Amino acid sequence: MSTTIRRDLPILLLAIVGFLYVAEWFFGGNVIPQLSTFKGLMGTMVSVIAWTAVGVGTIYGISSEYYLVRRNRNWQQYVTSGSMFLMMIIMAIIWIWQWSGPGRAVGYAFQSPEWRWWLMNVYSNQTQAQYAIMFLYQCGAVYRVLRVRSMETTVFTLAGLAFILKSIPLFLTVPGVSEIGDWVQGAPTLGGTRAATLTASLGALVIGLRALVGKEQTTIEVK
Amino acid sequence: MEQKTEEKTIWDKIGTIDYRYIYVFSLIMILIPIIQPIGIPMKVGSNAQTWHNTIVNIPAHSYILFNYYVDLSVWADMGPILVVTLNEVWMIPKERDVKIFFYSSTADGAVKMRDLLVTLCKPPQWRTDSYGTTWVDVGYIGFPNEAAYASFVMDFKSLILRDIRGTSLLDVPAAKEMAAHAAPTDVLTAADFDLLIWSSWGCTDPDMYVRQFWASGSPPYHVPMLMQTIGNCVPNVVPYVGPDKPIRAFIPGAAGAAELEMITGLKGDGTKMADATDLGGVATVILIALGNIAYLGGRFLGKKKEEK
Amino acid sequence: MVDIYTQLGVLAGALMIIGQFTMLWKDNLYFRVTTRIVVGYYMMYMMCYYVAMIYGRTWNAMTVQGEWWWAVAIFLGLLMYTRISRQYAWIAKYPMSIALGAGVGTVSVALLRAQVLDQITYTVTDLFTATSAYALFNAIVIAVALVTTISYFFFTREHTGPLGWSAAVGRAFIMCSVAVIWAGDYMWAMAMLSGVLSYMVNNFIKGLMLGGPIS
Repeated sequence: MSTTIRRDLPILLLAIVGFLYVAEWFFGGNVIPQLSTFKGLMGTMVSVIAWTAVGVGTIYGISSEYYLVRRNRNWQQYVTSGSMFLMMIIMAIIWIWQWSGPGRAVGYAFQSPEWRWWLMNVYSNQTQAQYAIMFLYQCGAVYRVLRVRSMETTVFTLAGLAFILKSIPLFLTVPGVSEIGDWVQGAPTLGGTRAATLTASLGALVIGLRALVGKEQTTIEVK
Repeated sequence: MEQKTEEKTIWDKIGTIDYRYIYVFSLIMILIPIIQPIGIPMKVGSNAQTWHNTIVNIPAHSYILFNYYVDLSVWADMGPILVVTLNEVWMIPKERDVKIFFYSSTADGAVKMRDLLVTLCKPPQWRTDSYGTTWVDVGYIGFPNEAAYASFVMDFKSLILRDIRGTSLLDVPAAKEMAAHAAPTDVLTAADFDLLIWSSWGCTDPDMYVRQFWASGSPPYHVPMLMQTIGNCVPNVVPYVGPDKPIRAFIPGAAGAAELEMITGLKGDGTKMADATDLGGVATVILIALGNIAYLGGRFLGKKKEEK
Repeated sequence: MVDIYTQLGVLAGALMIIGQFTMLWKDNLYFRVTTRIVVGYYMMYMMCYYVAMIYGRTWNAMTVQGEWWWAVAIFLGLLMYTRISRQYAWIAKYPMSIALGAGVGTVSVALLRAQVLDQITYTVTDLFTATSAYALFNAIVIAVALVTTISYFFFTREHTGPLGWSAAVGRAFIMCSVAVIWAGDYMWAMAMLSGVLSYMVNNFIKGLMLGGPIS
């Protein structure tokens, strides 16, 4: 009974929904219009389910931060975790305050000057800086790793260099750089990526079909 | 006890430069053109040319679906492409009667677009006056997964009920006219559009967009696309690029935006960043050359001396 | 004269950027605080946006148009929160099964058409529709790359003999693809650094500190 409710029924539900979607592909539209209606409705239902479930990640984030504070009872941890919680409280206050005005649309809070100030000045700059320092780490890696030690690293170095030179406006004025870069992008890379796409797609298809018939281990597992 | 020490050869010294010097060197090379622009000449690539031609030569009475994807965490790289493309779309003459349906698949887009429409990407007055008849904007649509996209391409009303001004979607004249373009004529679907301009920096998104906007539907929607992306998604995009393939052209990053700005004459941040990209690229070539000189020199020419 | 909020905004942005750059020296409290601020901001940003999306999509539909089934979707979404409890985590399998079934069904057949059949079609037709020697050469390279790369992922037999040679060639093509991915990532990171340094020089130093215009 426990296994039926905890494992078999969810797998049955997965299979029903999945097979109805697959059936819509072949018999939807004018043949069995109800299948298309089901697919349209189910897509929106799944979206609402996912939107509602966003809070799970937030709860996990808050709880992991809380456990960090419990483990490291020092002032640095209090400042670090406190800044995260304070930020959440500030944004929640701004959102509720801006939403609660008379006659305001739900999305108004996000257009308010207060919300935009935090988004454009704090969030945007910090995240861009995070990616920016990645460039400096990559410079160190370029210097240390891109050396022609073996067949693989030689191909890597030459192909990488060809693409980098093609992407730099200065080097495009050098004859041949653009043509070589285009060729590297359009022939060997295309072939390799096409093969990777094909292989990964076949693998995804097999896993999907196994999930639909209840053979996939991650769906069979019962806790 | 005898002590052996190995003296570092010149090749070892070249090959083991402290990483902090490398950081400072790279930073300086990128800072120089920001402080004092140099204006290094550029050349336009085939991708940017095809992109421009597709927009400029779009047939009269076409409908464009424009996803103004904005992620402020990568604005420096993807922002310039969006700005120049949006301005190029606004430059389509009134006589061509091209209608545009805007939406954003990112929350940042809904906020940033309001700024862009009054600053960098102001529409011409005739467009501003004809909101609802020649263009419509529905704001942010949260697509949590591909099933949401699948439902969206079949019927836009599954996820959007009204536009940014609160009008019910099919009460907007432009949306109603677009819905009537292809069967079923009272439902807005992907089949109603002649061109999709979209962006993403998720490298699995080209696969998803091709599945939903090209391969799905009965008959398949086959909506041709122009894609804005970042450099490391290029290999994921190229399998779908071609004149008869789903993606007609793609622009990878600010360097591509600089080329587009050169073709259109709409100078912006892409052109400003081109100088920084030039010197950053020179720094990269120097670093690769140094590393390989050190390795090859050490391997073929180096000798190690031992001292007692 | 630039207003005080814009000036404070530029100062806040500069402080966040400097906080990130301190990581180049070593991990420190300033870096961790700036990172946590944005993590907290983004978590609340997403929660608020999705509450607004749910309200916008379902409230009117349920209360005015009588579409009661949205309440079922919201209830299923709330069931996902049972994951937090060890005793009741199994309940979350129901909404997850629906989402997974929808996802698998959506992707499976479209993937077969777009990522498998179409890709094989393009590879073969390019060989026969090439209009120049260069195009034919490229089409042959692509076909060879496709076959040899797939042979690299064929693990049923040991990679010896002809399969070994094919897999080695495939490995070279894979390295080529990976190199282009890495090079693209490198150029992207370079553009991000240019943007950030441009903000610091133009807005913070020239704008805020030296009284110039702020964009």
